[in-house]
Amino acid sequence: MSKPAFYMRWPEFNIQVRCVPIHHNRELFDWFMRNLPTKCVQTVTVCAGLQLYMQNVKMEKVECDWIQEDQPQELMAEYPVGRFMFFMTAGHVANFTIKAGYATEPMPYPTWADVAEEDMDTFVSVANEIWESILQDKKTFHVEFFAAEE
Amino acid sequence: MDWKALKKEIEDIAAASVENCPEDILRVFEYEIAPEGCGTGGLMLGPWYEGATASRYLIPYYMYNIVKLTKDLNLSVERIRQHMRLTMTKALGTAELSGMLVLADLTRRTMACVDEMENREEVLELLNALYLYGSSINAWQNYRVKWGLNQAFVIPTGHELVEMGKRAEESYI
Repeated sequence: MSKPAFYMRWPEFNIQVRCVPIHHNRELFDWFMRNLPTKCVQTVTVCAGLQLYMQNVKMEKVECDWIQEDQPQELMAEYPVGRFMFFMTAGHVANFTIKAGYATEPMPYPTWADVAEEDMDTFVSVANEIWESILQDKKTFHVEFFAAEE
Repeated sequence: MDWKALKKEIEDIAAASVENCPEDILRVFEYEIAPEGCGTGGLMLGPWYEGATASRYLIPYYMYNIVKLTKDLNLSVERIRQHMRLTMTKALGTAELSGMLVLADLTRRTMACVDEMENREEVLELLNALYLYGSSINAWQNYRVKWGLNQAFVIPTGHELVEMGKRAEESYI
């Protein structure tokens, strides 16, 4: 059986990347998968470094059944580009970021997915374009998440 | 107060705000409109900071904490009400002060509704709706805040910031 995966797609760019589970927090990955499809406004972090930021993700189907502090965590400044972490997630609402470049915040977060290696350059390129836009011309971007077909 | 009607009203606004910028964010951050006298020295910087704090941290963050605590510690409805009164009152005042009128109105009505409710699961459904809406305006505030102080200054590109960072030690003697 193939590894489970989901796609994140930016409709304004018509670009998508594949995302896969990592070495820990597989239950968080599975919880996210059970709530797909979903979408939100695509923003970026500003003070914590270069990351894509998903702040208003509705988890309509299955309520959050884990607590951030109880999960294995990694330091944002140290984990690799393309890695997802959850932050301020509870009930039927998820918040998370994906590291896209430097990040200096020495804080631990529960990490749970990676952008697939073959899509990493595409991901970084899109993240840079969105980061520039939020500070400069302020175009609005959205991001959609949907399960990959097995 | 009909909690189901209020929940639907909040969820409808939250759903619309996935595509379109919420009214509060347009008014305060984009069009720079705020109630008379609410900014320090008549400047918009006060409402922006207060509004950013209300939308970015206070209301969704307190909602998150209450929903999370309820999961973690199995809080009773009375304890949820206690947490709401302790935390949300100040957040509500901050939202109103900065002209975040829709957010303040929905928050005030949610608090009043929870005061009359006894079913814990129903309370959580209502709080989840406000949490989602608060998170949405948090996201849009990220877009509309004047990161470059009203675009008065040229904002460095990401590449320029990296190059500036590499030469940071030249700033010190």
